[in-house]
Amino acid sequence: MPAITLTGVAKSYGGGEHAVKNLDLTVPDGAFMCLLGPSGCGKTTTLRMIAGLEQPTAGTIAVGDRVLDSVERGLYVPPEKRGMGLVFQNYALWPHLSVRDNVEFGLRMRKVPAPERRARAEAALKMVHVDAAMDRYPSQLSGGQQQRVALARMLAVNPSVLLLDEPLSNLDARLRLEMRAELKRIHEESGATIVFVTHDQLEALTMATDVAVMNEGELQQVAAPMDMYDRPANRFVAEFVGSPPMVIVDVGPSPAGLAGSLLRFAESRLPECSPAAVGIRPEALRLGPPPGATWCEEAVVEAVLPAGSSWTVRLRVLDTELYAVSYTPVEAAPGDVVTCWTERMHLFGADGARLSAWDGMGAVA
Amino acid sequence: MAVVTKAETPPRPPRSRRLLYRLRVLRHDPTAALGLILVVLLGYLVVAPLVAVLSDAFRLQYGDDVHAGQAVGEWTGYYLWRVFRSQISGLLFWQPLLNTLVVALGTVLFALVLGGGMAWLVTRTNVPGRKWLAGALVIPYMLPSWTFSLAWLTLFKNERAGGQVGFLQARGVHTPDWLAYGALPIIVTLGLHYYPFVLLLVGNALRRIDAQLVDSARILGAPQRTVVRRIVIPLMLPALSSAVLLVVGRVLGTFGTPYVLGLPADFRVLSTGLFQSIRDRSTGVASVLATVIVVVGVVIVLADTRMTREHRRFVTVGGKGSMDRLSDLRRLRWPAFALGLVVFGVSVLVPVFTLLLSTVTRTPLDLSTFTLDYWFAERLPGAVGFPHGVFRGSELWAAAWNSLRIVGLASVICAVAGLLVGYVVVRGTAPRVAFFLRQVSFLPYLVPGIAFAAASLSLFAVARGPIPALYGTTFLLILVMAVTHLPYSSRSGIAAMTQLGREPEEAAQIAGAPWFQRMGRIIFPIQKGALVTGIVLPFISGLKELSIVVMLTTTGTELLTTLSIGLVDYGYTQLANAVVLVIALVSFTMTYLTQRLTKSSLASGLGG
Repeated sequence: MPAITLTGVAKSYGGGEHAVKNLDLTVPDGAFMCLLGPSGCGKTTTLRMIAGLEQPTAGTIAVGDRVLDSVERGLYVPPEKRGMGLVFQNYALWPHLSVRDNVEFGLRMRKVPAPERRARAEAALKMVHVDAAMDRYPSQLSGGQQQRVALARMLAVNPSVLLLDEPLSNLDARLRLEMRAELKRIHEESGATIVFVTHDQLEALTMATDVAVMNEGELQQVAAPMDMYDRPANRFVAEFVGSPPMVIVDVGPSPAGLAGSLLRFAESRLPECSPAAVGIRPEALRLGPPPGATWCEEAVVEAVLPAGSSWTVRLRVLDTELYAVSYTPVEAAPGDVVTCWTERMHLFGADGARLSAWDGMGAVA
Repeated sequence: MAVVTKAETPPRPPRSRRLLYRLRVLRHDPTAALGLILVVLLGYLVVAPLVAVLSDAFRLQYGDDVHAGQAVGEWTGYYLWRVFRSQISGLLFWQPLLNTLVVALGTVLFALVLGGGMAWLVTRTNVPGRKWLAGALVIPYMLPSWTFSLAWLTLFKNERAGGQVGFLQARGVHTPDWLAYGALPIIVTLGLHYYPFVLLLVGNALRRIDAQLVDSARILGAPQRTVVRRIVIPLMLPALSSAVLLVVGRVLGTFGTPYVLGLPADFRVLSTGLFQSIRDRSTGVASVLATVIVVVGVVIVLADTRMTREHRRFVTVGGKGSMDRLSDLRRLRWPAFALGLVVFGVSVLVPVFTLLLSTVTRTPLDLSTFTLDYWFAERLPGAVGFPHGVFRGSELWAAAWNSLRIVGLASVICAVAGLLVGYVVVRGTAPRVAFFLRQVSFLPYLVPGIAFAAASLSLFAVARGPIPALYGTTFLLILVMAVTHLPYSSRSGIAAMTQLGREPEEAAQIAGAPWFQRMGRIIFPIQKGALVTGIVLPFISGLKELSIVVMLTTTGTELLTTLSIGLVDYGYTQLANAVVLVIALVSFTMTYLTQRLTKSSLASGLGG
């Protein structure tokens, strides 16, 4: 299975505005890569450029050794010759064709003989569990079924590159959960390289083998999901990935209160860096007596929000509000004064890039 | 860990490389080539004749050299002066302009209220027999617009113009001039003719509004009236503005009705003024008038561009169907049905029966003078030009065959071209090409057919370059007819393609379908409904077309309409009415058959 390589890819519309700026990205062979970012960050444009539906204004796109776009060399392969699969956000099923004909269409274009075409379409529909609706029309299906038909239509031609443009965003939560598992299974079974666009960080973390975070047309970080979570490259990634988001306290020129406390601690442990901001993930903020040499402060409990498997606590620490997430029952009640501590904090420089982190043992990468 | 830090502006490849890349892309995407072909064709068929008219307005015409004191063919402002500033300019221009504005405004309001109301009734309510109403209320559009004016005269004509008076006057009820002639009857008869057009356009848009959009507003607490004002009407704006503009354009160019109902009372509009100027052979003045109308048209086009700019890329519904839920009229169901029946009666039954009865009575609608001579008599005493019933002799049959052949071919060309224009506009690979096509394909609408025909004649009458002289050929007739009806089909093509969006085609592209396969298997089949509407509407309209063909037909290419108007000119009222009824019958039958054969209904239009 091929890797997808984007080199120096840029896309601008009309004037000077860039939807995608100078993108270098490699989707490894057989990876499940999520393009993650807020709306308008250029992730869908990137996906459509890989598919060939949009053309870059500069750069090269290749799958394996096959160059699909190269503005510099004047090479272009049209979408219909790229042999990829794409699922659109609104599925784009053809309303005048039955489910079977929708799925068979790609095979027909590849001149697959009728009996084989039939068998492969049925197999693809069986794989996504809509083979019962084979002779119906798209308008007679539910959203979830349409979604599955769109998947089957893509899978029937057995493409080695699958592109998915927020395919789960129109589904209800239960179906979405089910489809996530389904997509993961399809990835494992087919071994295809998958590029998946989403703005939902949870979706990215749960499904992807690699996550690429984009913002304003620029790549912020490419990493495995847990690496991205543990070692965000900059403030944007730190705040975008993780829920509830990381609390980041700006230090400022004359730090007082919580900022001062955090800075003093950070400087005492990592004297070589001078952070402009310090971040703590809610689940790294603990309550109770601190085990040894960690950062700790007194905090007033403002609210306790149980959520079954976890407890979210709103704290006031030196005039700043913080959230803590605990996975053990929280005994404190609102108004109680407790000690909060952490042994993991992220330090950010003035330009927003992550300088370092301290995890109780010392600096980590 | 991959941290990415990048220069803000990427290095741009050299121009020649970018160009090479662009060319490679274009080679695989025929949209741009198709767009260019359409630009050239429309440029030649639409823009070139208009340039010819414009140049005629500023060059001294044969016969005016003595008055103007210039040589024939010289550049001149003589015609401008004559039309705008001379002693006769009030008669030539200002009064007709005012009258045109009054008629256009009145007709649009009339058609919008009637057509919009009926559209809502048949698409969004549970009125009894809505399917039947939806079909029945489109029938007025199948009748030639001057049918209504002939029927009006049969009922309301007074003694002013001389000759046989109408039904009311004959019964001793005096019909004042304002009721018999002029603005009011023209507005009413044109409004009755054009409201189905509004009904079709608005009905289609109403049917396609996603019920969820309406429900969201209801759930947020908006009362019904607010929902209509803030959600439905804004979403309908493209359809409404299209409807208004198409009707205004049509009224500007309409000729038969103001000819029949206006001229006896000296009520002139721009189109009849233009016709008279052409008939008087004052080509220069006619060209100035035509130019003025073109300019008015262009202003409207620009206004439309502004108004619908935000809506152009608007995809209300993807490939999915919208929900079809109806408001419950409760106790008003049957009164609403009665209202629909009244509209049907006034716009179809009354005019048709008036005309029918007039063809079987020697005195209008007086059944004691019943006769079938006008239909079947082998000899009609007194009628020298057409001395037998309309079904005798070969004239009617030859004209009917010509009409079907010529109009049918023109409609098919027109519909396919319209859909292709829509395709190129919505694909949006070349914004400037799209802009040109959108505007130019609409332009013929704002030029009176008669001026357009004259312009086409001056352009095509002689051989130019590789194109031979086309005057008197059916080819020219087909071409001009297709071009003048292009606004219908290109509008509906653009609307249909906008509704569809690009994704169904992109999905086919991803599935490996080359361009022709995508067109043949995806775009055209999905747009079957739009295509049928795009054929049927121009067909019905072309079958009744008068102002264009009256200039272009020769003895070999007589059509039903020219036959009928010839009979009107002879004063054979009953025979003319009979031929008009035949036209109405043929166009109705054709519509019905088309609906049956393609299993799509004209009433549900783009719905396919």
